[in-house]
Amino acid sequence: MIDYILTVLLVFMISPFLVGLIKSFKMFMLFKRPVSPFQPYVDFMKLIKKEVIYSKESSVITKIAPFMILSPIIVVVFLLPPIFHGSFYISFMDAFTITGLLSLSTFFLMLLGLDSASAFGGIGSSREAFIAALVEPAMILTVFTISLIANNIGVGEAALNLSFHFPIHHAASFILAGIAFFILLIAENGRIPVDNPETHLELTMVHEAMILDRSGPDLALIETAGALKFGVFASLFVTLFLPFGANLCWCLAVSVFVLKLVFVSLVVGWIEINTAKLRLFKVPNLLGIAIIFGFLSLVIYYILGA
Amino acid sequence: MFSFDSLSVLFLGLIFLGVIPNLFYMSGYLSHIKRKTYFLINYFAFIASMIGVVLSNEVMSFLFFWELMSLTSWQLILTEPTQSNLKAARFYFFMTHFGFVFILLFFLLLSGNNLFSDFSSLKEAAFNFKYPTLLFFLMTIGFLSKAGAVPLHVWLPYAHPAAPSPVSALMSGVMLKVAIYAFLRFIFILPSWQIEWGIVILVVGALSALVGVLYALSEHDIKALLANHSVENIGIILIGIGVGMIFTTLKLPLLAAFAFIAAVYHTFNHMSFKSLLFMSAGSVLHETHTKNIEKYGGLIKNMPITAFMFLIAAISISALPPTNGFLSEWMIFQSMLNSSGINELSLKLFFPFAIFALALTGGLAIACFVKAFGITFLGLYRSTNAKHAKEVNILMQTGQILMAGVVISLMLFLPFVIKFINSALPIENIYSKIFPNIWVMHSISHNGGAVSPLLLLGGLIVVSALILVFYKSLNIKKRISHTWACGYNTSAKSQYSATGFAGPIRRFFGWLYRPEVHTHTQTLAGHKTKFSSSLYEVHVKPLFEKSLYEGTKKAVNIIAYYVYRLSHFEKVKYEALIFNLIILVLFSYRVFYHAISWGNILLEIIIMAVFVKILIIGDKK
Repeated sequence: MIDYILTVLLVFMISPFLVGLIKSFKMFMLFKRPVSPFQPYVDFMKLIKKEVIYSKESSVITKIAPFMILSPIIVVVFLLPPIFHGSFYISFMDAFTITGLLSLSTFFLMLLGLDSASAFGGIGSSREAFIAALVEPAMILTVFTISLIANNIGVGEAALNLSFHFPIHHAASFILAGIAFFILLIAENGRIPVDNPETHLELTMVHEAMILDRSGPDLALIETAGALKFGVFASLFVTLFLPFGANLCWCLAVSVFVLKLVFVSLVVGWIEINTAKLRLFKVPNLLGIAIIFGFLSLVIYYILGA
Repeated sequence: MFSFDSLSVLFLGLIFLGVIPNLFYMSGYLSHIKRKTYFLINYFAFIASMIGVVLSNEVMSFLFFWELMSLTSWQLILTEPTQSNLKAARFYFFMTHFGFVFILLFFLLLSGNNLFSDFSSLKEAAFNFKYPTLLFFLMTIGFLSKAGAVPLHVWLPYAHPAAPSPVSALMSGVMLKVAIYAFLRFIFILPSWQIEWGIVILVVGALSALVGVLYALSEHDIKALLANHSVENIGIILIGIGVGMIFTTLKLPLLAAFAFIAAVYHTFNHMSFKSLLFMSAGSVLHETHTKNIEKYGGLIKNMPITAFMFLIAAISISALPPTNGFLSEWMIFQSMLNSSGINELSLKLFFPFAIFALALTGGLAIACFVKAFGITFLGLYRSTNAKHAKEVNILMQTGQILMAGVVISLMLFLPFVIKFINSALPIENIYSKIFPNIWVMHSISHNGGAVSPLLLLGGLIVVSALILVFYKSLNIKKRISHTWACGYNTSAKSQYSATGFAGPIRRFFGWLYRPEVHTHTQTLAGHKTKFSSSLYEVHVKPLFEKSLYEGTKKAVNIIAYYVYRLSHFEKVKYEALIFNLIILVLFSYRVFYHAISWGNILLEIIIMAVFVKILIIGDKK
C-alpha cells in the first residue's frame, strides 16, 4: 500500500520535471542557455498566487472546466501499471478506461476553448477535435493489440506479464504497436511535429489556443494536467513497450523506471529539434501511420500470430 | 394474443422508461402545437401501438400493431404540414412500407396458412423450413429498415427531425428500439444460424456506425444531427448482436451471451440519452424557432437546465467514462477482444475492421458532440432569437430531468439492469460471472478487464473535491474583464461557427462527403480583395442517397420506359408475356417448395431465357 502511494506520488512529482527537461534539453541542443528543468514547479507556484480573469463572454463551463480537465488525469495516474513487482496497484482497470478518461479531459478542454467566444479558442478546439478523432482509433487499436499480446486486458497484469515472460513470438506486432503508441504520445501531448507548445502564433497553435484566455490558478491546473498527461503517456510507454526492470529489487526498479522516463523525454526532445511542425492537414499522414501500424499489428497478431 | 414473457417485459420496461418522461415533456410542449386533438390522438395511439408490438404473441396482432406504429408516426410527422415535412413524411411512408413488405413475406412464408398462429408455433415452422437464410434476409431487411441500418437509413435523418420534438424523442429513442426488439425476437426463432449471418450483421453495424457519425458531423440542423447519431448507435447495437451471433455459431455460448447483453444494454442506453438529447434540442428549438445550429450560441446563460441536461447526454453518447454509454461500449469492445482464439480466417479480417470502425466512431462522436454542445450553448448568441431565449416551462424541464435520471440510474444500477437483461434473453446465465460482487463489472473471459463505474465516479468526485478545496484555500482574486481578441472586439461573427468547427474533418473526409461549396462575394468597385459582404455555405448530400437511391430511381425510370414500350405490342406478344409469367411462377414454386438441385434451377433459367428471347424480344429488325 505504502509502495503504491509512493509510486503514484513519484509519477505526480516527476511529470512536470519531464516536461521541463524536454525544454531545457532542447535549449541546450540549440546552443541556448538552458532553463532549469525544474522551471514548471516555479511556474506553478507563481501562477497560483495570481488573480483569475474570466472573459466577459464566458459561462459556468469556464469555471468548472479546469477541474474536469485535471481530475480524470489524476484518476488515471492511480490506475497506471506498477513499476516493480509486489507494489500494490488497482489491477482491474484496463486501457479502455484510461483512454476514456483521457478523452473526458480532452472533451472539457475543447468546450473550454469554445466558451470564451474568441476565435482562437475555436481554432484550437476545432483542430484538437480533428486530431483527437484520429488519435482515438489508433489508441484503441494499439491498446487492444498490446493487451492481446500480454494476454491480459488490465494494464497492471499486462505490464507484469510482458515484463516477466516477454512473448518473443509476438515481437512483430509488438514493435508495430510500440511505434504507433510513440506517435500517439507525441500527438496527444501536443509536441512537435503535431503541435508546438512554445509558440502563440495562430497558425501553429492547437493546445495553447484553447487555453489562451486562462490565467492564474486556472492556468496552473490546466498546465498541471498537461504535464501529468505527458507523465501518464510516458509511464504507459515505458511499462508496456519497454518492459524490463520491474523484476529487480524496488530501489533498482524505481531508478530504472525513472531513467526510462528520462530517456523517453530526451527522445521526444530530440525529435522536436530535428523536425518542423507539420501543417494541420499533413498531421493525418502522421496519425495515419499510427492507425495503420496499430491496424497492422492487430492483423498480424490475428492472422499470423506473430 | 398477448403474452408477458421476459423479453416482452424487458422492452415494455424500456418503452415505459422512454415514455413517462416524454409525457411530461409533451404536455409542456403542447402549447406549441396548433392541431392539438389530431396530435394527441396520434401520439397516444403511437405509444399504444409500440406497447402492442412488444406484447403481441401472434402474427396478426404483431403485424397490426407494427403497421399502426408506422402509420401513427407518419401522421405525427405531418403535424406541421410544411413543404419539407410533407416530403419527409412521403419518404418515410414509402420506406416503412418497403420494409413492411419484407416482414409480411417473412411471416407468410413462415406461418403457412394460419396468420393467427402464435410465435411458438412459428418456431417449429422455422425449424422445418428449408431455406433459413432466406428467412434471415427477409427479416433483416424488414426490421433493420425500420431500425435505420445502412443502407436503408436514408429516410431517418429526414423523418425524425420533421416530427415535433417529443415525437422525435419517441421515434429515435423508442421506436428504433422496438425494431431492435423485433429483430431479436425473431432471430432467436430461426434455427441453425450460419456464421455468415453474424458477419453480415457485424459489417452492417460497423458501416452504420461510421456512416452515421460522419454525416452527423457535417450536419447543421441540430435534430438531423441527432437523427444521424441514431444511425450510428443502431450500428453499435448491431455490432454487439453480430458478435453475439458469430460466437453462438462457433459454440461459445458464454461469450455470445456477453455480446448480446452488451447490445441490449446499449439499446437501453441509447434510448435514454437520445431521448434526452432530442428533448433538450427541442427545448432550444422551442425558444429560438430555428433548427439551424449556426443561429444558436450562448444559450447556457439563459437556459442553464436545458444546457446541463444536454451536457450529461452528450458526455454519455460520446462514450466517456463513467457514463452508461461508456459502459456499454466497453462491453462491446470486451466481447470483441475475446475473439482472439478463433480459427476462422474470415473472422480474423472482420473483427479488426469492426474494432477499427467502432474506435473511429468513438473519436468522431466526441468531436461531433463538442460541436453540438459548444456551438449551441457556449460563446455568444448568433441571432436575436438566441439572445432572447428563456428557460423552457417547468413541465418540459421536468421531462428532461426525469430522463437525465434514467441516464444516471442506468449507470448507477448497472448490475441490476444487466441481471434483468440476462434473464430476459434466451442465453446462458452469466450474471454471476460478470458481477462476482456488485461493485465491479468483469469481462467474461478469464484474462479480461474490469471496470467499476461507481469507483470511477467516486474517484472523479473525490479528486475534484480535493482540487476544489486546494483551489479555495488559495483565496484567489477573481475579475471579469475583456480578454484579448487580436485587438478586435469579440463579436458573434468573430467566433467559430459549426461549419468552421467541422472544417478540418470535412476536408479530411472530402472524398466521402463531396461537399457542394457555395461562395458568394460582393466586390467593391472591382477590387477582389475588398468586399462588402461574403457568404460561404457547404452542403453535404449523403453518398447513399446520391448513388443508391437516385440510381434506383433512374433504373426504375429506364425499366418503366421498356414497360411502356411493351404496352404498345400486339396481342400475340401479350399472350407470350402471360405464358412466360406462368412459367416463372411455376418454376419459382418448384424452387421454394420442393427439393431441388442446382442443375434443375440452371435448366429452368435456360428455358426461361429461351422463351423470353423467342416470344417477347423476337428478332432484331
